Amino acid sequence: MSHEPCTSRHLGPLASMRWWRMTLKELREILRDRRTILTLIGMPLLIYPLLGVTFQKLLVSQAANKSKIEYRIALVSQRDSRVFRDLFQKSAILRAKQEGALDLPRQEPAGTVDDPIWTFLESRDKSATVDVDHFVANRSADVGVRLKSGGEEGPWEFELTYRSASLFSLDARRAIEDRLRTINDYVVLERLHEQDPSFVMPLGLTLKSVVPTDAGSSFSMATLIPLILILMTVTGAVYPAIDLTAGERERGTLEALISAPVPRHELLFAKYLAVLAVAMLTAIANLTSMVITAYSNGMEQLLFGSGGVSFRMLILILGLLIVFAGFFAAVILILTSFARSFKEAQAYLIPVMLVSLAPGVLCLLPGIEMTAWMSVTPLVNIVILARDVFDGRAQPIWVVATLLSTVLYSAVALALAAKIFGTDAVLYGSEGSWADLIRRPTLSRPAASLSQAMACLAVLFPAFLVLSGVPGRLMGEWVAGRLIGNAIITIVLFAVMPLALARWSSIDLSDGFRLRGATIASFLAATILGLSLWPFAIELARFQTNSLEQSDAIKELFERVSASLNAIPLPAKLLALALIPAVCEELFFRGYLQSAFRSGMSTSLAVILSSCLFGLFHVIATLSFERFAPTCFLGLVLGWVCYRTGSVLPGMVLHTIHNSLIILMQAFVKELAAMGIGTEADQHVPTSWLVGAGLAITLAIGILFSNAQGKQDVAATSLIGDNSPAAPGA
Amino acid sequence: MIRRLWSPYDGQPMIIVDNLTRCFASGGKSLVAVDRLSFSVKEGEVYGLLGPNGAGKTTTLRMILGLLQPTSGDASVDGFRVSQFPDEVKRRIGLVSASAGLYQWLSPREMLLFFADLYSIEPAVARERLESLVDLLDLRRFLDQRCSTLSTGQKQRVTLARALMHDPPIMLLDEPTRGLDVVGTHVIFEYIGHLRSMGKSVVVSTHRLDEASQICDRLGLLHRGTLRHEGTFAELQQVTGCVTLFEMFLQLMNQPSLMSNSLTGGLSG
Ligand SMILES: Nc1ncnc2c1ncn2[C@@H]1O[C@H](COP(=O)(O)OP(=O)(O)OP(=O)(O)O)[C@@H](O)[C@H]1O
Ligand SMILES: [Mg+2]
Repeated sequence: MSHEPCTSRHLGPLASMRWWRMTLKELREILRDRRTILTLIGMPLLIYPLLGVTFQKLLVSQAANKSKIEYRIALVSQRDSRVFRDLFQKSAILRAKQEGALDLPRQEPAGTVDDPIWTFLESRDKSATVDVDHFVANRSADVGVRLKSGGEEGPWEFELTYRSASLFSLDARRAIEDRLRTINDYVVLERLHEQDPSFVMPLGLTLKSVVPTDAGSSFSMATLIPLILILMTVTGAVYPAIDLTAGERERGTLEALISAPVPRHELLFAKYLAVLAVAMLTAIANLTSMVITAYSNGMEQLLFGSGGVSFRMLILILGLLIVFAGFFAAVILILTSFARSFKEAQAYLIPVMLVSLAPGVLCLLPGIEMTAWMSVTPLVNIVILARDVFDGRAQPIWVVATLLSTVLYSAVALALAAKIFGTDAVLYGSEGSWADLIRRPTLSRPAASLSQAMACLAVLFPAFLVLSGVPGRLMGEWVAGRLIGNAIITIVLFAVMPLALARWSSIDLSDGFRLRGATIASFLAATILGLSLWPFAIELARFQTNSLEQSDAIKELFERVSASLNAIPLPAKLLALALIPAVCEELFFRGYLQSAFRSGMSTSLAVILSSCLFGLFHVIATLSFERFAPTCFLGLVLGWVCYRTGSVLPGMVLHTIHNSLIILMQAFVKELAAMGIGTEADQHVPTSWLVGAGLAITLAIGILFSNAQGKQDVAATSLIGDNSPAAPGA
Repeated sequence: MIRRLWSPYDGQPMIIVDNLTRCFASGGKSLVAVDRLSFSVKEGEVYGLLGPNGAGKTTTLRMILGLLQPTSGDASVDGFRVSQFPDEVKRRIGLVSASAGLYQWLSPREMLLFFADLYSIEPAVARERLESLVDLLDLRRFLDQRCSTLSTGQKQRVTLARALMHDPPIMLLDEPTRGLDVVGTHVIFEYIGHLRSMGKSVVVSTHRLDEASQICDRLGLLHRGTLRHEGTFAELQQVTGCVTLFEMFLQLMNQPSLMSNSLTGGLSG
């Protein structure tokens, strides 16, 4: 060009507020659609009252079904009745005094075992005598009472008739005995006091009732409320998110939008705000409807804890929901920006919903408490925090940790979505679509497409979740059987399935799984890393334990190794717990997944994402969040090694050695303890070991850096991706 | 409306397409949609990009606007390289595409003002321009109706107005007549005439060959991603020996031996 173009930017004060006007436009568009209003805002206003009525009916009918305890006492004559009821009344006063009450509680009896309802049956005729034995025998009464002897002042002698075969009749008899005995005891005590004022009974009893802390009572409706609210908020975000991204693409307005000189992140930010606003609108509608329903049905204690609904609590909940909706809207926008049609967006969202629901439900199980690592685990942290806010036991430090990390994740997700939104691959759909999954490609491809990897994950995740519990159920205590079962599941899910899928879709195994040779130096470096990573893994596990729970987490590092495992011969253990998992996991996470990710994003992002998934799968396998950090760390190292060497084989070596070392350490735990290495919380790996391992790692990294083969790996997928950067013109 | 002298560099072409190439990977195959394409469009010129289905016209226009990354090569618009100054390029171009949709829940007025805002047009200027475009394209009747209720022709007129809201010096029209009746088509070609009278550079891709041969200053015949013939209609008639564009098309598609790059190179020089 003969002249230098001047980039004059027409950014006035006008442009600075444009994002706000853009947001308003998006909102106007969404809210003019009556369906939105109906489903997102009208529905909750309708559904909660309906649910409330149903729920209340249920409660009432339950209460009616649970029959109250009522003892029917038949009395021989009216005189017997008068004497007996007199005594009964006295005993009630005495009991009340014993329990500390000042006067007799005048309320209705509760009908419980402690406070039964007494019904006295007597003849209306003054002089008549009733055959009480007969009435008890034919079950018209539970106990019959006859005054055998005794005048107006006593002493009295009663005869109690009961059915020895009926537990209920027996209970009634015992309850009467208890009541009458109170009078005897009282009189005896009075008499003894008269003779010896210092006399005390040898035994004293005080009664105190508590509410159980275990599962039974703490898993109430109140635990479910946060999950319901969160689900509702998500529902509110999903529709506008799809509509404003994939929908815009589908209706053909996206091209004009991208043709305007507006940065894509600004476009996306306006959409994000609009989605957030609608999600919050839905949340507020849900919350309002829920509170009003609870209030009018008198269930607010049941739903919102003993304190009922307070203004402060509502504000807290809304605040939490904003943070949560902010996070989820950003995550959803990543997926919907990626999709090219409404249907495709829905298909992407379903696995995400599944994945996000699992930890949500998991966290509602009783006994799970917020820990440091949970407070930074997306989604999990918000669900638990919401529960704790409801219960009024949220600790400030976890509130801060949760909010900070969630805001951070939201920002990252939003940045990612802005990168994807409106790229030409999405705009003109040149990348493989879901239809590619069904149509078998004819030509060989270097790596699985991103969407195929997503589909594979969407199948693998639930399969893994379901299957990982099966060996335990089938094999029971037979440890060897469980080991074999686990090994088979690992092989099928992580090796056979992706390999079959890849074969079917004509993916080149050497490229798509990085199944190819590597230099001797690569294997050397991998071996060194495999030998030297464990001290840091242990320290990492310890570091996170130090922050809260002691020592349990460290043992988690050895999760699969339990005491009963010691009976298994060492070679078998190494095979089942070190070699097979290492090979299969490398094949899937580094070979298949990372290669697929790299066809759609930068290498570093692909490595990070696949290690996070690697960590997540281990969290699910062991049901302990503490596994996340060490596994993620290992995944990052393995991902980088795979990228540098261009092959999964060195990673397999590294992974196997690392696993084996940890199993060996478990086998020789006593010998190691003598050397100062162990799983106790206060035992740090000796500094000399750490320094030595550090040096070894540095050496290995050096070898890998000087190894030129890594460069081959860079271009493998750039041909197929449409995001390949434009070559500058002549 | 005042005619604005956009380029201070008279004689410089407004659009220069330089060895533009774009490959697509579809179903494992690699397809070269545009193959080392070069041409240029001068200020105030109406350039017709013609070719059968799948020739690469749409792909070329998208790359000029920077919506699609070229595999190699580059284009420049009013002196700005597309790869370097995407926003400057976008600011100078108005796009009318057959597949363009409208915001269903907004009215044409709201939508047009929204796009003016995207191009950082002052609100007062935008309102003024809206009025003149409403008169030009006869939008008054449905200006405040929801876009989803408009007919195809009405929608197309809103799209035409949308592309002019920021008064760009260059217009890219991709099959602007698709789905329109005789009257609608007439409106489009009147519109192109209006654009020419305002001194705008226009690249139009269309299958309406008769109208194209009348209105276009120069024509480029594209087939399988390469430019086979280029020149005024009279020049093309001379070179191909055909009378109508239709015949030229038939020749283009039936006689692959005639279509050598050297011939094209000789013509476009
Ligand atoms: N996003 C895409 N992914 C894969 N292939 C594409 C894509 N876009 C275009 N193509 C292919 O590139 C070639 C040129 O397409 P293009 O749309 O540019 O043709 P065209 O000249 O505009 O045709 P028409 O007259 O039918 O509009 C076609 O073979 C088409 O299949
Ligand atoms: Mg086209």
